Amino acid sequence: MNLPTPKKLLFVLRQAPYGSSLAKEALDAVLATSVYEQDLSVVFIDDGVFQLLQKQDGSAIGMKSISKALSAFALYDIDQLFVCADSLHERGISPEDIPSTITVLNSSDIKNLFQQQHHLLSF
Amino acid sequence: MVTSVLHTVNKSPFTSTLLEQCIRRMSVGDCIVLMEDGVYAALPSQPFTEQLKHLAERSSCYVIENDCIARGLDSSQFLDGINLISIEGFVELTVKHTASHSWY
Repeated sequence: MNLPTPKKLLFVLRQAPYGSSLAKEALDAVLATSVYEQDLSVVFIDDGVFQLLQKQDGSAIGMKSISKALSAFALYDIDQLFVCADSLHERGISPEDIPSTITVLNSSDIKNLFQQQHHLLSF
Repeated sequence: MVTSVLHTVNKSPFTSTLLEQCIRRMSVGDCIVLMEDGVYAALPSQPFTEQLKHLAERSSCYVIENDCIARGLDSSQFLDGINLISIEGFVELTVKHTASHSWY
């Protein structure tokens, strides 16, 4: 039996962690989608780059740390992870402040990434 | 009757103009508390730095400490004149001021 060709899906994470439930819901959606063996990528842009800061401690406000949940991506074989260089720069975040597993892309690379997808899911 | 207002801002200055809208409406003696995603305003890279620095010279400016800890922000990098405050300290501020205005 021929399996259908996997679709290219890009999750676009644009929101800071904790201020709304979107960051957490995006993580859940990414992990759930990974089960279906599609060609899955995740990109962090705008305030979404704040999700990548390493020293988060959600327990200070009674939440689970988003940064710890992100480390689950490797266990799910989600390894196409990208971040926007301009969004980092605008916020004064150096690439050394974020996990080394995430590829830094410039804005035009990110536009290209958008154009290569079958579906874009924005959070 | 002279009132002093406690202003709270809970949105990131990188994706919202709420901080600037709030600062523009503040009077002498008012106080601002940055909370939730509003705490990103304490970073020197944010777009309304000049307005906030100017405000800090004449008014009290606070960020909720636990919101900073949760987000992994390093308070040693915050703008001058922005003070950390606990939830208990914030409650005291609400009592000290005659009114509160939530910008959200």
